Amino acid sequence: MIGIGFTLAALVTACLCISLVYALISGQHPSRIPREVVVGFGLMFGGILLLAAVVELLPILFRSS
Amino acid sequence: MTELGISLSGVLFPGLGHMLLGLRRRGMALFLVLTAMFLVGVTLHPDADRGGGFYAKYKKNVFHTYEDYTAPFQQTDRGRDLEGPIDTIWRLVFIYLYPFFVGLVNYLAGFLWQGSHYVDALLPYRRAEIPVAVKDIGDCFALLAGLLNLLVMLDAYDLAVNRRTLAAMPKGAQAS
Repeated sequence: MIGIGFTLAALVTACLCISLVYALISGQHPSRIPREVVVGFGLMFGGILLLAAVVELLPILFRSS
Repeated sequence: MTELGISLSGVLFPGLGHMLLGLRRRGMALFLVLTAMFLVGVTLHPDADRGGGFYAKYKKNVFHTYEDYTAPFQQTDRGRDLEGPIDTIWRLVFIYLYPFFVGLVNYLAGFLWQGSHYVDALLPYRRAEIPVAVKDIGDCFALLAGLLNLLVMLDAYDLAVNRRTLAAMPKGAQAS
C-alpha cells in the first residue's frame, strides 16, 4: 500500500516531464516554451483529475435505489 | 550526415539529433529530462535479491538477467505456448527494440545505476520489499522515457528535412 502523496508526486512528475518534452519539440520560439509547459501540464493533469472524478462519480450517479 | 542518420542518432542517447542540428541547449534539455525520467523509473524498480528488477520485467533482455523461477506461469518461457501473434510482437518490441527507443547509453547507465548502493540510499524500502504499485509506477516512467525519445527522434528528422528543403529553395522564395 502506498500513500496518496507518493502517487500524486509521481503523477505530477510524469505530467511535468511529458509537457516539457512536448514543449521542447513543439517548434515554438524558446521564449514561449514556459507557457507551452504550463498549458500542456494543465491540460494533462486537469484531464486526468477530471477523468478520475468522473470514474468515481459514475457509480454514485447511476446507483440503483 | 543524412536526415535519417541525424534522427537515428537518438538511438545512442536522447537529444543527440537536436545537438547535431546545432540546437545544443534544446538537445541537452531533452537529454536531461528523458534520462532523469528513465533513471527515476529504474530506481523505483531496481534489481531485487534475485531476478533483475525492471530489466527482467520482459523476460530475457539484452543482459539475460531473468532468473525468477517463481514467476507466474504466463511470465515464464513455458508461457510461450499460450502466446498469440500480438503477444509475440509486443514481447519482441519490449525486449529487443526498447533499448534502442530509450537510448543505448541510457539503457546501460540505468543497468549500472540500479545495481549501485545509491539506489538503496534513495529508496525508502528494502529492495525485496518494494510494493508492486511502486514497481509499476517505475516501469511506467521508464517506458514513457523510451516512447518520448521516439517522438524526439521524429522531431529531429522533421527539423533536418525542413532545413534541407529551406536550403534548396531559391533566395527570396522562403518567405512565401
